Amino acid sequence: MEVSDELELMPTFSIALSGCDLRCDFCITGAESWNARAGRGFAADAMAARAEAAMQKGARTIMVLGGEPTIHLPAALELVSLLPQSAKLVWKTNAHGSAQARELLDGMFNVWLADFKFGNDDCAQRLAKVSDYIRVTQENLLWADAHTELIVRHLLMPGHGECCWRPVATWLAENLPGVKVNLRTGFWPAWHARRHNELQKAITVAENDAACKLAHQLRLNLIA
Amino acid sequence: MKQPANQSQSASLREEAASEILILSGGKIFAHNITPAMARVLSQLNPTDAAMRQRAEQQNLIQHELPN
Ligand code: SF4
Repeated sequence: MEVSDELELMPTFSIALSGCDLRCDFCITGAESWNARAGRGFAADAMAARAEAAMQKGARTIMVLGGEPTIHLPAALELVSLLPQSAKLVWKTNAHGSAQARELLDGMFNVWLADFKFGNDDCAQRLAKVSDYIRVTQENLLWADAHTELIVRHLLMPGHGECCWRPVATWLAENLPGVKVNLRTGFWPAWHARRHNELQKAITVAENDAACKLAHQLRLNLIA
Repeated sequence: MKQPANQSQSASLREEAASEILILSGGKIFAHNITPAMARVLSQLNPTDAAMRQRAEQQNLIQHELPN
């Protein structure tokens, strides 16, 4: 049971599946998220029973996350089929899945908690070794907003306020006005962050203030 | 072969250790995977952090900690 995510979803019973399709050098769960074989074997029926027990003890939501849970789509869908209709289900995703994957997810989760990490393809390629990031992610966010409740997350990275946060915030303001946005300012230089000079430190007060100011100027609907 | 007690204990501790914290030399604290119990600790470290207080209060919504 966890309370570190968005307050309106807490307390949540979170189910973390290892492995991810991205390779973010700053990944805070890199050891598990870069290794789809990490952890224990997944049994959907046993996990559904634990999730149901958690709901009875007070969990407000059941959250399926990664790494990136899309890479385990069959197991995730099997789990959903075993959970009670009343369960409020959250799909925590990097928003970089395929169109086919999102069609399979249609109607399965009540909330998409989706990352919009990078503001341009060059930063995505350099920091997460992923190509065509912007097009795929924006397409998924628009789809998620149309099909389910959407909360967008952006992890503010040191030195990336202008190249990443500004374009992300501007696009959200123009294309998803009113969408809930969680601007995460607790970047910490984890995993392979040291491969990049600018990522070897935390966010400064000035960077934090500038990012919040931009969010307010653009009238983003910030949540905690 | 049966695992020595200290090995099996540390394996089960690893499975239960859901929260991670990092304290910078300047006193700034980062945390992720915050359990209700950890939220209470963090809230006591900085009672002025309203968001963390709200997270700590979530404990009241949970009847009992679940077994792993
Ligand atoms: S998308 Fe998330 S889980 Fe995957 S590598 Fe990036 S930070 Fe890690």
